[in-house]
Amino acid sequence: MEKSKETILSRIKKSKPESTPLPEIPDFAIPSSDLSLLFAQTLEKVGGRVVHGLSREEVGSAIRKAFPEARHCWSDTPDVLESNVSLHQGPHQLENLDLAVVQGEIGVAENGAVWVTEAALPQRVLAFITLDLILLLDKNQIVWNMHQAYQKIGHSLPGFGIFISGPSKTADIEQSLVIGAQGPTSLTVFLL
Amino acid sequence: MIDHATRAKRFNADEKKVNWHDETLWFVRHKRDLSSKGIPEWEQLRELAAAIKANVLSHLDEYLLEFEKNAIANGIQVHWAKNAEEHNQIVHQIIQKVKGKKVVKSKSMLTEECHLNEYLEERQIEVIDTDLGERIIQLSKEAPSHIVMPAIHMKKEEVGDLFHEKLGTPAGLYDPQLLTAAAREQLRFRFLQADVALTGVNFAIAETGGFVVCTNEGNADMGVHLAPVHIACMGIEKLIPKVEHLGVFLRLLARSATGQPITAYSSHFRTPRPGCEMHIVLVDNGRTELLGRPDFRKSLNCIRCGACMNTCPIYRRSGGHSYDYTIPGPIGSILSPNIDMRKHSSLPFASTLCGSCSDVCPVKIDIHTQLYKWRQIIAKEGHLPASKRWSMRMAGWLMAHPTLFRLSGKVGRRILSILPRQLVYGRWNEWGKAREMPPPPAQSFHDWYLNNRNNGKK
Repeated sequence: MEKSKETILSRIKKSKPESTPLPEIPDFAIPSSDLSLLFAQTLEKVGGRVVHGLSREEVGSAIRKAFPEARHCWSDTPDVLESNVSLHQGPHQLENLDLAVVQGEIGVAENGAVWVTEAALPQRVLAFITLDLILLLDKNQIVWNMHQAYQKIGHSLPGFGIFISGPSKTADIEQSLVIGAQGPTSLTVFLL
Repeated sequence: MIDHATRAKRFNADEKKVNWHDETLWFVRHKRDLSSKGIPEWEQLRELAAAIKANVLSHLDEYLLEFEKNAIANGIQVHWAKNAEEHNQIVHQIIQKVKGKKVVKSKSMLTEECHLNEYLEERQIEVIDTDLGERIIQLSKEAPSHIVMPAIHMKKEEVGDLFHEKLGTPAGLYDPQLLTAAAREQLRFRFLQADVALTGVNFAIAETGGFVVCTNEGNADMGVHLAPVHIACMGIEKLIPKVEHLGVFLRLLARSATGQPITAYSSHFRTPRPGCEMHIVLVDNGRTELLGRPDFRKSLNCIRCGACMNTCPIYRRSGGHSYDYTIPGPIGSILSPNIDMRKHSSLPFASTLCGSCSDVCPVKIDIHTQLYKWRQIIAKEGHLPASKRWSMRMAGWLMAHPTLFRLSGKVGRRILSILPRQLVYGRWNEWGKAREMPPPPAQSFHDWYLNNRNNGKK
């Protein structure tokens, strides 16, 4: 509705306050302790699991041991886990996905979030429709706060990117926490 | 027209439930405190957020154009709606164009504000709310009573009975874990069937033409990554200039809302999936009018965290439905008079003006000051109820006549201690309905002052 656009813009021009400047975001203090440790502590508080100290080869067997019943698995890193589902028939084919192994890009210690982009999600729904989600993260890519995370991401955002902090959850019935709402029922992050 | 106090009285009929509601929300407020105190720069973040929002309001037209240009370059279709009716029409047209019949929706206070569900349902389109709390109130045919916890007014037994009736769960199943699992299973099916997925917008970024949606359940993502069409609806005030500003707001939002350090999912959308459609509807619906009210425009800073509700002694004890407006609580009480001053004239009075709402607000809206200012406007425009209007007029007149004032005080003190209880606590005594009157003092302050501080001079 082109006319509405003009109406809205002219109303704003008429009503908007005098210009105020954008503030500079300062560099806030960063804890001196080990960020990967802080990251793990925070993520565990929000219901995620963190595994560290394993080599890439060991991660594969750790996954198979932790999820022995997972039949439909997707992974884009065959050295960690072999995929046995196809993505070519669209997102709905992933209905019965048990496990997805996805490479994360940045970890944020203050809130346990991992930045994942569509570069690692050939179907965006992978990270949500799967029963259990596994994220791989280079522990040198962990920063303290969200400001640093966005500095690393830069100004050009991907087509789709997401901070994931813990499994899907809800407290909509009497504020009692239930893990596994509409998305994954668990999240495990392997720090490599 | 039923006012806030009358509806609050209904909510208060069940005292045990009110106490539970009060304590539960206070617990959420407490979690917010713990979470915010873990961030040494918390107050600085609030200042930054308020300053960014002030800048946005002062350049809103330019940012909207920048956003539109970048969004179109990303392959997003941008629509403008000056009111709720236009918003609903636009959404309906998009759905019709793709011959959509089934819509899944994640939480969007804007679509609640526009009553989109009813509009679409009247046109034979099925809308399924997918946030668990929203789904519960959709099934019970109610409005949300809180913007973050839509079904906080319900006990698990009520949800269990509702699910038994509507979803076929076993009778007497009241365990939140099992009820959530039942809802999950049914919603899975809906996600897979949907033709169109609708979401709200937490933040839209002018410099990228993209937007961010925050959920804990993952329901927004389940919807939009399956359905071929994604429609995102946003109020025009949701804009922020740059990516770096997300850092400030995402640090504040979840901590203020539930005490979580961040929501489980903060999804950044910039382009549609290959072969799919993405639409954004930019909605005014009274926002430009609010922008033109200097005393009240700061309420457009709101990021819908709900902290002001959790802390408000009135909200906690009167429940969200007593406000009869999409956004309840203190923030709703300053937003609603801008939409319909007559209808919502009692809301700015649903406050003790204690100021706790302003203290917890992550974007520093001066909520309690605005409540006070709305009261004055509502009185001037003649929207006060007769009882309040006349008692204020009487009190004003009495106070302007010192001799009469003193005399009536003297009579009052005497008479109060003599009159039978039924007379003192008559229907006219609003104060005495739920409280004891203070015992009448032996003398007035005026007399006391003359005797004690005026060197005995009368």
